[in-house]
Amino acid sequence: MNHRTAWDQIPWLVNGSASEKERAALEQHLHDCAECRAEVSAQRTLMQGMQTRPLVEKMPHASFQKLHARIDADRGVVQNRPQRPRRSPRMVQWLSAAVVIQALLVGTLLVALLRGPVAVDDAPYRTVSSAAAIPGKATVRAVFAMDLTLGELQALLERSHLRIMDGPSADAVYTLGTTRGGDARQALLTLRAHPAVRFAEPIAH
Amino acid sequence: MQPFAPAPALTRMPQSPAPSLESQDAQLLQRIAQQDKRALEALYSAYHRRLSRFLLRLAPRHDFAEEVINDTFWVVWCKAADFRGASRVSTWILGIAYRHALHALRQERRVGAPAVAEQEDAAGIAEPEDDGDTQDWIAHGLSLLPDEQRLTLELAYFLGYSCEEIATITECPVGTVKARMFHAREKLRLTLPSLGGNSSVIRS
Repeated sequence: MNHRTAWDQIPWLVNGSASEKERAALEQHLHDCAECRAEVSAQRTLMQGMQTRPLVEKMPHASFQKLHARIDADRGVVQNRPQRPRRSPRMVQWLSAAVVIQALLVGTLLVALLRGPVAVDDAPYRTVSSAAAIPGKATVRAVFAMDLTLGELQALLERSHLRIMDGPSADAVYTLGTTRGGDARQALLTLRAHPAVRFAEPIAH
Repeated sequence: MQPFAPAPALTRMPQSPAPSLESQDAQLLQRIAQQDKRALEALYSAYHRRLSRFLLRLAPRHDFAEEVINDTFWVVWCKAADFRGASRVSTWILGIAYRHALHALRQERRVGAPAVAEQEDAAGIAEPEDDGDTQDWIAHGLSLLPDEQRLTLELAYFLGYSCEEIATITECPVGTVKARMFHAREKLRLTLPSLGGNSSVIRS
């Protein structure tokens, strides 16, 4: 084995991946070559230094939950949802009242409809957190933690310069768009940095 | 003349999966091909540390590493059924991570480098004091290398892959891997006092 071949072979001797044949030939060369012996020593120092470098590790579980949400969002299926709590009698009373109020509202709308044309056209449905009827395109899909309150969600959206354009879907996925002056990439980073964001991915256009 | 004594460290490194681990990985991959999420989580957990380490060497930001790991396992989830065993499972996964990482990094650089505040470990790669320890100098020296050279060293010296396996992971000829390793070693010799050699010692 000539010097240059031996020199190239040193890393694979040091990391233990050289074959027996390569190793034997290199060791024979090393016996007579002080330069290569010094290089073997230097590369061992380098390898040991690289292996002992401290690393602040993050637990994989939280990261995996984001991947899990991504898979669910892609399939349109959310598995293992927590069971809904049993409704208390008081809750049932409130729901009954809500149904009555809803019926009254429907009646009022029907009366208004019979009276004349209505200027609703094809206005899109907007949620309370929509900043305004600003035209724009959806840029991000996101899934939030179940325990995120409405106030926290609104604060997060304001900070990210995002508004809800659609959702939540049956799979709890929100479609978000940037507000005027907002930056989609920065918004995505802000969302991903928030602990209650289970999933945030850009929408390809 | 000082005789050469083979060091006990010249064995296959622990990060490189043993055959039994490789067999476990292959079994998990088969289950993933059947859309088994528990198997995906098991494989994800098994690879998270080594992928984090590998990716943090490329860009010292945990958000970057997490994004690339999730992109990698998204591909694993979608393509597990296509894996034919032409390489080891770990080589296949590392190859996906390598390509995604370089692609993501190049995209980031096109739109502008991330703010210094985002570089969580930025201080760790600054030039150390003269009396800094070997690890500081190595981190600094590695940070000065081109991405491909740095990752070649990481694949060889931290993950323990052979030259041929690195060629498979990085999808380039063996000669290119050798050249990257050669140039990386040369640059580090000039940067790192602890390696203090003289690059002129190589004769053709």
